[in-house]
Amino acid sequence: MEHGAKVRARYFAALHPSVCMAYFVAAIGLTLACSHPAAAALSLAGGTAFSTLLRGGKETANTYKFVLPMFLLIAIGNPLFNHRGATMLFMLFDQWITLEAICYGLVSACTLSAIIVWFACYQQVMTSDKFLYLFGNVAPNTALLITMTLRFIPKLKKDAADIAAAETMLNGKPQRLTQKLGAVMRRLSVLLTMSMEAAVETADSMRARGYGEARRTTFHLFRFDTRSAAIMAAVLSLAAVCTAGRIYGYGYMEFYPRIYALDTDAGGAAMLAAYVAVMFMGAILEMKEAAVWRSCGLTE
Amino acid sequence: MALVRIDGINFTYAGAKGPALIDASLEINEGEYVLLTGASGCGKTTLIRQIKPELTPAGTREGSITYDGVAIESLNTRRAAAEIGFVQQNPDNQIVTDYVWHELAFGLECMGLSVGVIRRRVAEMAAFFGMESWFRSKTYALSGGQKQLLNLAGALAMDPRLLILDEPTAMLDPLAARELLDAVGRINKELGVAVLITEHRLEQVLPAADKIAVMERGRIISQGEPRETVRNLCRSGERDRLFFGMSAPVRIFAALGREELPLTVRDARLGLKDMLGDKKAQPLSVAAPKISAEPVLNAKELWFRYDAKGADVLRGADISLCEGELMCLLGGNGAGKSTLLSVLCGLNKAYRGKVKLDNGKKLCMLPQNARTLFTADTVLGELMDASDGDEARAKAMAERLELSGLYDSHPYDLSGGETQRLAIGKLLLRDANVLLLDEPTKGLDAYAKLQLANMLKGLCKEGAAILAVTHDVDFAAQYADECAMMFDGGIISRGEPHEFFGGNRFYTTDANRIAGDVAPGCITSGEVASQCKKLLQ
Repeated sequence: MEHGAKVRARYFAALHPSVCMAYFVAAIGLTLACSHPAAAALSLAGGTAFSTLLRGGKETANTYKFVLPMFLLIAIGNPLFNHRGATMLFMLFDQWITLEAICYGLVSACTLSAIIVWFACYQQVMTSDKFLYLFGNVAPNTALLITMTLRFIPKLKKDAADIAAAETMLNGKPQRLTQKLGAVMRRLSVLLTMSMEAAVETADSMRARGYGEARRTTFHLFRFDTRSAAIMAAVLSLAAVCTAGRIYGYGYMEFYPRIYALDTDAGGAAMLAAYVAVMFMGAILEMKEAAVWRSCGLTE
Repeated sequence: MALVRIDGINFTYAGAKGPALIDASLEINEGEYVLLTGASGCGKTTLIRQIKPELTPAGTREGSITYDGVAIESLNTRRAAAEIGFVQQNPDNQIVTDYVWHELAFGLECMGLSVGVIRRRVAEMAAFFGMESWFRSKTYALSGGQKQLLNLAGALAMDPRLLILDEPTAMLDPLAARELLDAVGRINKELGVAVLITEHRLEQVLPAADKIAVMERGRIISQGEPRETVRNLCRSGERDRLFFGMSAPVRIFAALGREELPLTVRDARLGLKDMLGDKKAQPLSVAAPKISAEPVLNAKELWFRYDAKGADVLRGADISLCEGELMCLLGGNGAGKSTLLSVLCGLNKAYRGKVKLDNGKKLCMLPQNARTLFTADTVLGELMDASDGDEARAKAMAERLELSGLYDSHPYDLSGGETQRLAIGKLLLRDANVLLLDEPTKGLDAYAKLQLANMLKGLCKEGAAILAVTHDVDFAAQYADECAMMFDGGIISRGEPHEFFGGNRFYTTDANRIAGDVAPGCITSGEVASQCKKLLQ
């Protein structure tokens, strides 16, 4: 939706915001609820696939530059500082390293990584206007305030750059630290004066168009079409199956004192299938969309 | 019955000594296009804000204003908001929200209309103004012209009966200004919305207006049908200040002492042919420019782009500036003019080519928004800041720039012309002697332009070198020692103004368009008038 930016999120971005929101709540919520190696790995894989299709490989790799060190930190840190667990492997710095702590570290590192990747996708899909649409009717004035802030930030950046250029014209490039501090203070004060002046005009423009006249409605461009309805139904029913499974006890692993999980029977298989479907739904839908474009010879 | 009737009002700002409006009366009929004109600071904005109750400044008012037969004070607030649209000068500061579609809907949201109704109205607006291609853009990514068009559309979406515009084109370049005024004209002609506009660019508004009202020092000194009012103005003793603001057709014909004054270039061309028959003037001979000195600023084959993968903005631009020279750099939007300035003054660095500045010269750029230079609360404070506390120097500079009466004013309260002069004064106090100006005439009325030009010429006489980027063809023709044309990242032509504009058919002054064939070589109204006078004798 960004003007001029690369547009990748085609399928999901065009869905109704409530569907997007439901999907992310389901994916992130289930990842958090299921503490199980398979669940964590599947969520990370699904999220990464979705991110690659939505944001491109380069952006996803950028996310991983942050995710990988964090993964290692938790995976290594947990067994070093946590000595619970019955299966003692060896001594390090006079402390027992346990198998359970190693496994728990790996699983929680994986879960946390998955959540970060999912949130990166969330940011791409849930632009400010969608968020405001979902929550704007509850608090229209707060929604307006957020909108105005979002409008204000780029303007503030530009003004700050202009002021810095003008200041350089007048006083040259500051050399010493005291000069630099002085320059920053001066710039801030100019920026403040300019912004206040601008705010008066903005307020005039709002009053001229009847701000405060009636309870505001919040306008939007979204439609709840049949496609959105179908996806919504799928997300809700799959999430319901997973929730039921999780309540029954599937998709959860005890680590301490000993690793223990329910055996995989028919119920477990059903939950696994639903879980996989939720985690990969985003990626599959985006892939399907890309395939449609290719088959029509319309690739970018 | 008149839509708006202003009846003999006086208005005094709260805390002010004298009144800002004196016995002002004006009528606006349903569907009428009314132009309100006058020098800056004559009370135009004060007057039009009396008609928009939400924006009326604090103060005391005598006399009556009625809207559709209702006293404006007791007008239903909902009606006032919807039926009287208001567009201000600054395109940026009026925008409230982050997306174009949301901005269009803002007023309708305030009215509490349902999403379905708003959707239809917003779609209508986007279609009427041809906004479809940028409908989903973020507002900050728009050009100034698009922003102002959006503000206009936002007001129109409320379905007003009267649209008030307060110098809507002051911050726009001529092309964007033309588009905006065309849109205003369409709104008036096709939708029958009454328009009250204050504007300096008379050449485009005069032909469209049904009525003009001229203000001076808080009074409406003349009003009526445009042609007649202009004629009366030119005949009466008020010629001095207001006359500068008249368009070239009016000035030429008034100077020739004609009764019938044309308002458009076409009418003036035909009128001149009628008057002169087959007579033709000798080509105007102009003394060759005296520039011979070595350039103080010399830039050769500058190449620049903003990021490594982007397109080149400067493609081998050459420019040189001599001592005592005022050069105007002209060219369309996106030709790279402002970028060239930023490279010349060192804010950006060319990746190929060099900028050479003579020893002992100091180069400064006046930014497009001169207010970015202001750090103090008073005019004197500003100048003292630049003179490092030397009061004598600061006061001498104020004297020279005709700012001495304004020592205690806040820099933000100055008129456009005064703002420019104060900013230039600050740079001069920093010993700048090579000045780069970015659109110095933007938003100035004709008189302020003249004042600025005189000041710049004065500086040049004292040895300064000035390069001004401008869209103002008339300004360049009248005052520049040399003009340069920028196109596609390079300077494609340069020369003395007569030689530069004289040969052009399209990119030239109105005076040259009117009289290019009967008085060859003339590029200002004054030259055309004097050549034609000689022919008529």
